[in-house]
Amino acid sequence: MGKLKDRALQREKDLSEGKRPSLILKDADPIKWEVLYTRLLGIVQEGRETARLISASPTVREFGECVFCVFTPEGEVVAFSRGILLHFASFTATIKWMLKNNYEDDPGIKEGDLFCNNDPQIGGAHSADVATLMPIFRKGELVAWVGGLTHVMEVGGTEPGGTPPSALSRYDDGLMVTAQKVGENDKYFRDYHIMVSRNTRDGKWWIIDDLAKLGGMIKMKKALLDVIEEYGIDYYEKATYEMIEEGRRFAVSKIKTVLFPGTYRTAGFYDVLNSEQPVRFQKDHYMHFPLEMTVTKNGEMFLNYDGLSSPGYHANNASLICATGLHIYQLLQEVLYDGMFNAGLVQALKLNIPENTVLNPGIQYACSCWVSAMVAAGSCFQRALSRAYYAKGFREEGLSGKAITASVFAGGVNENDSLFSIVNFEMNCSGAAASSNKDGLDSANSVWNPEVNLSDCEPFEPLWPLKWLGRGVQTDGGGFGKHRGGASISSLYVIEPPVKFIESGCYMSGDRVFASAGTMGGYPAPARYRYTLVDTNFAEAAALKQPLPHEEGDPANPDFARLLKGTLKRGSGQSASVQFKQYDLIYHASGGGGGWGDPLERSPNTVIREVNEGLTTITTAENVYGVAAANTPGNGHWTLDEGKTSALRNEMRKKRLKKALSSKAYMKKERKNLLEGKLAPIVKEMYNDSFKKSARFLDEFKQFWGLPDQFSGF
Amino acid sequence: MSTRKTEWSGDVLRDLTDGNLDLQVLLEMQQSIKEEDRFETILKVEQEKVKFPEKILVPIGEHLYVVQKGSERVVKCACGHEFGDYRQTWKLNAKVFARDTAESMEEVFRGPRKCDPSWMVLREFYCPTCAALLEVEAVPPGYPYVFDFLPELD
Repeated sequence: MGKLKDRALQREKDLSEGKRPSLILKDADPIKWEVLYTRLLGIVQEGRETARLISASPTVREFGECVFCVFTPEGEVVAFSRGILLHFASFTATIKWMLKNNYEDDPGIKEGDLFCNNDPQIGGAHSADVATLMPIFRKGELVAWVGGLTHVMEVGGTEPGGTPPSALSRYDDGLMVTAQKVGENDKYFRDYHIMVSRNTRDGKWWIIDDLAKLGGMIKMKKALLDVIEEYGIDYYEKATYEMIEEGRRFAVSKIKTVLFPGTYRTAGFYDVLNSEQPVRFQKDHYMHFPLEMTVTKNGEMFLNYDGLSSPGYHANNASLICATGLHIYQLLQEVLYDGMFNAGLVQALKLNIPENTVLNPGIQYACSCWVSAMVAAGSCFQRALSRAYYAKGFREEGLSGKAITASVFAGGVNENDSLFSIVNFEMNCSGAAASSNKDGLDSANSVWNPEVNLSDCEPFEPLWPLKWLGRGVQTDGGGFGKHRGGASISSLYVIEPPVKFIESGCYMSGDRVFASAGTMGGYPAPARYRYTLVDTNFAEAAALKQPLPHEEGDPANPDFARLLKGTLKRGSGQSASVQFKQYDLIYHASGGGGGWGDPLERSPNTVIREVNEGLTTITTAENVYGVAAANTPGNGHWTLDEGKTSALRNEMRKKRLKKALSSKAYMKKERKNLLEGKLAPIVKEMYNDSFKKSARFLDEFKQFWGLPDQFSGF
Repeated sequence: MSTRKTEWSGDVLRDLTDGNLDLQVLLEMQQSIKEEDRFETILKVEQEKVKFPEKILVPIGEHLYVVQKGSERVVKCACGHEFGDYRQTWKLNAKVFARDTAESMEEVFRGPRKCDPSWMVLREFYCPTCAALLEVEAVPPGYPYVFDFLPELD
């Protein structure tokens, strides 16, 4: 058994028994201690920025889809850079897995080694997130690990772009490198990169990202060893464990201060519409995320997903490591943002995600499009946290339901007979959720990376034949409310030039269901979809200088169908790859954030301003916000009619009470429907699955609706 | 973590509880160290705003409070409407309108922006007295009401 493995097991045992270090070094000289932490933060940030400068991938360079970190010898996070914070748990899990599987003996862990992992079940999210780990030795002793991860644009799998929505099992997800030694002496093995080249459509993205990571990590290694030399190894080691303990103490203290103790419940949902996709198991799936969050007066937090749906043969499962990372990252971003982002946070959060569920699936399940699952879970957690903040009086914090994010990808053979494979992350710039005092920002939020960047169009246009006809913020694109959710980004592409072959698809749930819920009277963000217009007269219309579409316009009668001839199809927000040709059009929009509060309490002046800015339609202003406006003849400018607005809102409130039922009457009607089995088959399937997963959910369901004792499912 | 006593003015805290705080002040508040007495301070502000005499124990949502009424603890709307014991969801005593058809969904979400009502419905919970929209649940048909929050008061 390896020395490190023993040490890791002892550390786990100590923590489980509550044996934690005192903050002796911090108390003795807090400035020296804090400066060390700041230097470590500088090291990880330098690694990230170095990699961004080296990488030629626009995903890394433009979007910033990468993260770098320093770990203890046992794999606990000491310092984490900005970037894909979702991967907080990924590296740790990989290091622990290697130690547990006796890597110290075989294949050995020595100075200059490089290990690669993109296996989500070992430590990651999906195969497109490729991590490299490097052990750091000093005088023959392993004293730390450094790691780097980038999102790679092509990893093989059923479709180009690295995140295939038609993947139905792990074996469709793409090339998996499972905690494998891929280099020695700070150099990658040549045969490893040959293997990558031959098993992906365009291996350069993986390989140049590997080199970018290596460049960042070599700088980190040198800087870290310099710091250790300066502070002394004894001080460095003791101080890093103290920092982890400080992270834990801070988490407990802050939770206690800012969140009201109690039990919070939320429920999230998403759909996978594979019955209409060109996949081998054409079946729809409906996922149920019931979350119970308990906050105690002592600052403990417990998250329980009892009743969570089963995994399925579709692309939208998420690994346990990914789910763990999401909750830690979200707690950091929304509550602990002023603390130390290290392994101490993990000790402050207790998480129950049962086995054989969509957030804890078996090895055979695909995880390429894990985002749906993370948005559902993250949205539940976010809304529960918001209510806890709200009750304690911290109304400057808290957010409504998270926006779903998306990706549009394309691949094929270009006009020079070269294979191409590109994924564009602009659709990850979703609308931020609304909060109790402000609207969510438009196209400015991503579920896993708080620093994601929209990117310009220009770096992409030479790489793929999707050219932007327009890009903008979608009108009515966020959840309505007193404060509205941020609106989604939307793009309209035309296929040009005529490449030899092109296939394109996208992934994003939330079509049959609203995936981003509202809070305290706010509405959810709109459902998601994509439009395609094929066999168009685009070339002719352009040659004749006729008006061309640049945006969606009226969603029920989109501009591209109004201005051009062609066959219009409304497809699911998650659409498997299909073939396109020159002058076909694709329209896609990311998700919007959930709204907050009663829409009839929204400032009428704000509503009118946004109508004039094109962010809100006049129909929504009247029907949802109860705002009456007059159109100035000639210039199309809308002005508020205060008197009519007041009367309209009073009238709408009266109508609410007139059309609504008492809760008792509504429940009686619903109960009758349930007893008669008036539910869609997919809904019954979803309920039956959760009933089998959780006796508690079944009991509560029966109790709420007053169903007979013998009821066990539909 | 370090904490401090609140120094925000009454006007700022009133605007905060009204949901209309100036965005620059809001940003300053977000960047400040959290106050250990924020809860007590906010309770005073909330108590001054409502017309009912009962003592507010905790705000649980926009317009909604758990209050001490004699020996009971009940949920009340800011308008004074009473929803019953706080240990069960107040939704059981609200007015409910379910958008469970394409037509009713279309009033809010146009064209392809709607969900499929056979998969998901919107339940709008209104205060029976002031008609405020207190919560919108987006759930599958037949889903039990979500009991959003049971505060630990003792």
